[in-house]
Amino acid sequence: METLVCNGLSKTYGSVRALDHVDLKLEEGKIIGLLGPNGSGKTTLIKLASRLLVPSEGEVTICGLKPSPETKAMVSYLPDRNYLPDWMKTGELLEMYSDFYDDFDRSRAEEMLRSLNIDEQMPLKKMSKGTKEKVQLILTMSRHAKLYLLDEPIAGVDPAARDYILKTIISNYDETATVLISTHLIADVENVLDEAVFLKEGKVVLHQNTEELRETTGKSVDEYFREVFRC
Amino acid sequence: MLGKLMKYDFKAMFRNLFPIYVALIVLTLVFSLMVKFNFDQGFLFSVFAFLFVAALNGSIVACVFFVVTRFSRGLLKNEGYLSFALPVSTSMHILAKVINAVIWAFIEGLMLCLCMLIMGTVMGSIKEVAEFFREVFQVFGLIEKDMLYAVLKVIVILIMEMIASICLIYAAMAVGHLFSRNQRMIAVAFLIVVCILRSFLLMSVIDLFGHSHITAYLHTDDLVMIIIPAIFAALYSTLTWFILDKRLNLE
Amino acid sequence: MGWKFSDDLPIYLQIIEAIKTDIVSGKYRSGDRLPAVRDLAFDAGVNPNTVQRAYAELERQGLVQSERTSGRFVSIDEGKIEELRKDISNAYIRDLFKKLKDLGMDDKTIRDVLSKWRDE
Repeated sequence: METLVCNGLSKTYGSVRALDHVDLKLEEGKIIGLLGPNGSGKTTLIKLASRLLVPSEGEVTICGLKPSPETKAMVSYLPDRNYLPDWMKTGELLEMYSDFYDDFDRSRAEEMLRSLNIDEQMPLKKMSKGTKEKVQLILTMSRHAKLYLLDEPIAGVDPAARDYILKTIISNYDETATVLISTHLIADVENVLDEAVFLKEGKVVLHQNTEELRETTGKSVDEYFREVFRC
Repeated sequence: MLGKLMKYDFKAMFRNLFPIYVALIVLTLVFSLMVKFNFDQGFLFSVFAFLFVAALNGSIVACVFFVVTRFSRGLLKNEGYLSFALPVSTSMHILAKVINAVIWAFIEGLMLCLCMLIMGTVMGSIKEVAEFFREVFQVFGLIEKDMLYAVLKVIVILIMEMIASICLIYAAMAVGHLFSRNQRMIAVAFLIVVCILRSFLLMSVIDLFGHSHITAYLHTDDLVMIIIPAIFAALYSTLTWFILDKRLNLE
Repeated sequence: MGWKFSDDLPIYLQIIEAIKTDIVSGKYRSGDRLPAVRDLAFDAGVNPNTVQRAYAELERQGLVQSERTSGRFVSIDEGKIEELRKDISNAYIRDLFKKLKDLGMDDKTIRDVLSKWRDE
């Protein structure tokens, strides 16, 4: 079954075309990389799917439904910035997520926080940037969502944190869920991907199984990416 | 979901305003006691008198400020990524923010009444305080036999006018959000333009109904006094909803 | 993160090779339980579907048997494992001969060199 479908999806900001007639089908049970350089439309696509933006043309559906409060209940979204109110304590955030999301698994989140020795009484603003990012990831991955939209989850983190993030993703997504990870750091994520979607200037230029890609090109996804996007 | 949204808005507001209200009450007490015990001269008294007046005005300014920032920070800045990802409709978000503003306007009003009560009780007696309030109502030109109805009417009208103003401020911020630069300036300009347009519009409506003077507005039916701000509130909120639902573009 | 993989081969093939080596070397003995898909994916730092695919292929080759509830086990068929050992060593030998031939040695020279090397 398809979790996310885009039909002729376009988004323009003024005269700038950020997404240009994107057709895409993402199936359940897969981890998919949304790969492209900065400004290729990755964030725009993710925002359209989480209904933080409305399409200029075409449509996007989640499990067959247009973006709405109903789809938001099935989508777990990790924005590419600090989006949590920094005066809140982790404990308060857990309460908030349990309040709003029926699929939030509080005990799973608590366990992950404990394993990182994060104090539930500590407000976010007293945490380091890296810890804050981990709290955000833990909240996002502790939901039993149908679709996870992770926007640049590994940008600007050290290798140890990157491993932690990728392993958290692998061990927490549900088997019937789809995980979409946007990034421009392909080498770091390619081993965990089922499929790769290459986005270039708002257009999908490739959507393929990563193993097939390695088999047919004899190259890693990263190498192939560099070839496609050579300046 | 509305209740949950309100819960978190209340928490955020409480965190900001609680210390201010505590300071206000303490200063009111100190000021009243100083007057009561004839400690009402000299430098120290001037300082406390100034602080007290500043706290009174400051609490009103702070209340308005935090109502405004709760909307802009909660929906239009980074926290908007969290808010708009919640499984809640845009209209629910706006409604929660309007209710939040009404609740805190009430609390602000209560706090100011409390200050007056404290002052009255400390400096004079309960009786005098009651007398004072009776006079206040008389200023509104109300007769005592219809006291309850009249008070209620004034309160409802004030609330409706206040809601309309809140909805206008929210709409102005939403309009500012449409632009990538000078958002605040555009919001303020929008606010001013709408206020001017609104008074022109009201005057021409009154003219239409055969009243030739602006005071006619003040003597129109109670129902009209309530419906007019309700219509404006609905218009502003529709604009806010349209922008947040269809034109949202968080940075 | 996790295991090292070379770029030019699909990852599931590299996982199959790694497990086969572990079976032949005795790290996993006949009848041992293999790690669960998610655990192995976690350790190797790869996608669970990739591990699933590697396991399915190993099952198809008869080296691994799956019990519906209790997981996957290394085949108890010692003959299969012996066969696998032969396969892997043959591959090494084939590779060795190819490389030596590329250096310009003929079969006889190679055999002489090998027996001399064994004696030493």
